[in-house]
Amino acid sequence: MTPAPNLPAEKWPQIKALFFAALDQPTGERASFLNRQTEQDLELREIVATMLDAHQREVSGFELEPTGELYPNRFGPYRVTSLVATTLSTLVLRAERDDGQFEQTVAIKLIQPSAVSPQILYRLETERQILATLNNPAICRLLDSGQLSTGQHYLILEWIEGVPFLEHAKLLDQRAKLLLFREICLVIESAHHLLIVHRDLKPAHILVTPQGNLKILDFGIAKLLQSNSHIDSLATQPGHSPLTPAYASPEQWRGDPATPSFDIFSLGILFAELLTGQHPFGTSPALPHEWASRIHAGQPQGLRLIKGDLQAIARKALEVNPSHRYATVESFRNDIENYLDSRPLLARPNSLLHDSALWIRRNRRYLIPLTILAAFTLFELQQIYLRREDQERRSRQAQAAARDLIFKVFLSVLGTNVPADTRRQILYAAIKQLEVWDFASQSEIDKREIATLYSQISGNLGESFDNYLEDFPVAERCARRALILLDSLSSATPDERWNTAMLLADILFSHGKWAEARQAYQEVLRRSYLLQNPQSIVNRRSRTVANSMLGDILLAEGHPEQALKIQKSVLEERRQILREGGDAIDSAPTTSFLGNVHYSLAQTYAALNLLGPAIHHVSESIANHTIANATKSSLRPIAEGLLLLGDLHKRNESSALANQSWREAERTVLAMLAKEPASIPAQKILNEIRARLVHPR
Amino acid sequence: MHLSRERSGHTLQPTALVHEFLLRINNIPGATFDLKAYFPLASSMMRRILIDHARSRTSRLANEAVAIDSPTGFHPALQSLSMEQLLTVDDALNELAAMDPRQAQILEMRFFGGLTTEEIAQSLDLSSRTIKREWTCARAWLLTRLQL
Repeated sequence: MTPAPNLPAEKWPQIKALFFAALDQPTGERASFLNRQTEQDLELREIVATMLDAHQREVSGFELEPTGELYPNRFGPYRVTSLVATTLSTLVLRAERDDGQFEQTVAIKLIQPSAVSPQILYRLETERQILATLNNPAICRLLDSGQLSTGQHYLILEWIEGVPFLEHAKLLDQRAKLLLFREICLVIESAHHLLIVHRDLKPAHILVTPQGNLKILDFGIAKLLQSNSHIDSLATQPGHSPLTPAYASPEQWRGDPATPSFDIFSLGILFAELLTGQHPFGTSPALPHEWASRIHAGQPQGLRLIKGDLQAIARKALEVNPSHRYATVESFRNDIENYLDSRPLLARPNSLLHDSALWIRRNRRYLIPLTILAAFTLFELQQIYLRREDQERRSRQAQAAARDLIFKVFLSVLGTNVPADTRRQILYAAIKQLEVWDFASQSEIDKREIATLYSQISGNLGESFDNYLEDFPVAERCARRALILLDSLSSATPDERWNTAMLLADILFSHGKWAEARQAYQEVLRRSYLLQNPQSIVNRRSRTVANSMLGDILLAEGHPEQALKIQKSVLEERRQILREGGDAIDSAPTTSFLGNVHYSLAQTYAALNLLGPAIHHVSESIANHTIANATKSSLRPIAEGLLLLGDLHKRNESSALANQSWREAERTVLAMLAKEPASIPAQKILNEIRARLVHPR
Repeated sequence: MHLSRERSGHTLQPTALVHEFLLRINNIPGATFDLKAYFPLASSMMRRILIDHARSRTSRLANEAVAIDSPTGFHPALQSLSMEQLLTVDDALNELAAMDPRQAQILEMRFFGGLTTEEIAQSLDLSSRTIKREWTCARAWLLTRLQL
């Protein structure tokens, strides 16, 4: 095996160019071509030669021709004749049956591995059984489904060629149009009788074949799970139900459970388009949410173009309130027939209103809404995926691994450029998942992971200092739970427990819960002596942190003298550690901490009305944090220091210096907000500063 | 050291998890979402997760007798690799990224995102032909680097 050559990065463009140039040569001539081109540079020659050699090798998983992996040429009795379409996650192939049994053209939808889960197969199989019962020549049938050895799932559908029905209808007179529409209604009715709702009726899904036959496409490619709770849970998550914005009813937008009213509304829009040639809710292109508002507003202006009774029918089909709409497609169809036969209409006022709610109540238990997708998208499939019941069916280990990954994903996002609000939402979602897992899990290993994750999440939510994600109650809850878990686990180390105890104390402190924080820090100190090496630098340092917090608490509770004592001893101990060489003088953690201690001292001296020392210490604080800022963003403590400095100057009767400090504080906070506009602490500080600047006296 | 990576019916694909997660972001009011950027982002996140997972499994297995099934979702190319080789792939990708960011991204999207040529092309706004071409070169380099 040739050893991997060193690849100096500067040579890469040459390597690449030469590699491609060599590939353009016939295989037999590549070596000599390469030799000619690299007479001066033997290293280059060796590298490219090795690559050309690798190029020739077949390595599983590293297939050269991606088209080979895209789709096979056969699917059982069907031979693929062409690739018809591709989307982000699906391929549509055209194939012919060639096993001699009979002639049939089919469309094969192949879903990419990245787009699908193994559970789809289960669902598709159930799907297939249901669609067999739909056996209606007007419905594009699902003939088969399966999975390739590569893991890709496919669906085999009837191949349909036709013209979208609106196009076809342009040539028809009004009576013919109405009869065509009536046929469409009959097909949908038959589906509704089987308690199947289409949910995505739109012009592209209704074709007329050259033979003049109606075909409704993509009926029930993906089926949602059967029990009602799934429907509800899916339906109530906004954005989870796929819908075509211009054809979806208000209740579908709301995420209500699917009912025939969805289809009736969509049919209403199609009816109007059929008769007027334009969409009843607006002719200009619009974004999804614009369609939603138009439809919710319930003012289908386009209906005015329809004359007389037909307008009344259209209006009734498009009522915003589903219970005012036609309750069934049958009654919609009947009214059209009534019109054609000049009989009285249901749509006219003072007719009996059928209660569509009755239908729902009667059939709720059996309702199986189907989503119709012209092509699968990543998201629409994944929304069907990970449902709780499925999770319970899987092995515990897979569950743990899954959740582990989910949280890693959640937490990893916190490092990227995601707005604070979003990060907060993500963390909440993670916590919910975590609590479920916590509740369900028994094993020590799991509990360990859970505790770690609680700590991590809690740290993110409670570390208001850097992270702008403040939510102390939740952070506290997570930290407490983490601590309880760690204390109960024999495999947890005292260090881990100690860290979490410290986290909890910090959260309580940031939250202003002084009494509880005080207890928590005292607990931290107590635990500190249980550690393996209580007098190690690390532990001494940690104790200074805890003590410093205690000092702040004492100050907050109104005991400045005690606070002063503790804080001075903290400063001294920390300097001692520095002298012993235990801390690097200019390291960010050290200077940050010293900055904090000086700040605490400043506050304490201020409380004791000793302005001189107070000003000295706050200036030291700002200086320290400024040094730390070079490595780790410390804008907040700098701003807080400047704010305090201003206050101290003010008390010292130096208004000019006070204003100067406050203005600098303001500039600092604005720099914070430039980086993180949603930062709550930054806003708070800014408000404080501005309040002072407004009232200069 | 090889880990068992059986594709059981129970195993979850990490890509599915990433998709679910990003789907949730997508549904959070006020959060904007760029579909085209999603594929590279998802691939890179998946890579981070899988590699981290691989690293942590390595250290854990050194101490514990019990082997916990690691979730699959590895691209076929990676499934037959040993733990050390897998980490080498990660290193190799980093090296490639320094020389040719686009090729590294294509590799990442293919191996860790499980995306096809078409999907990668659409996401990066390049032609399939360009993607295939770059892939040819990146593949040759990677195989050389991995000594496969």
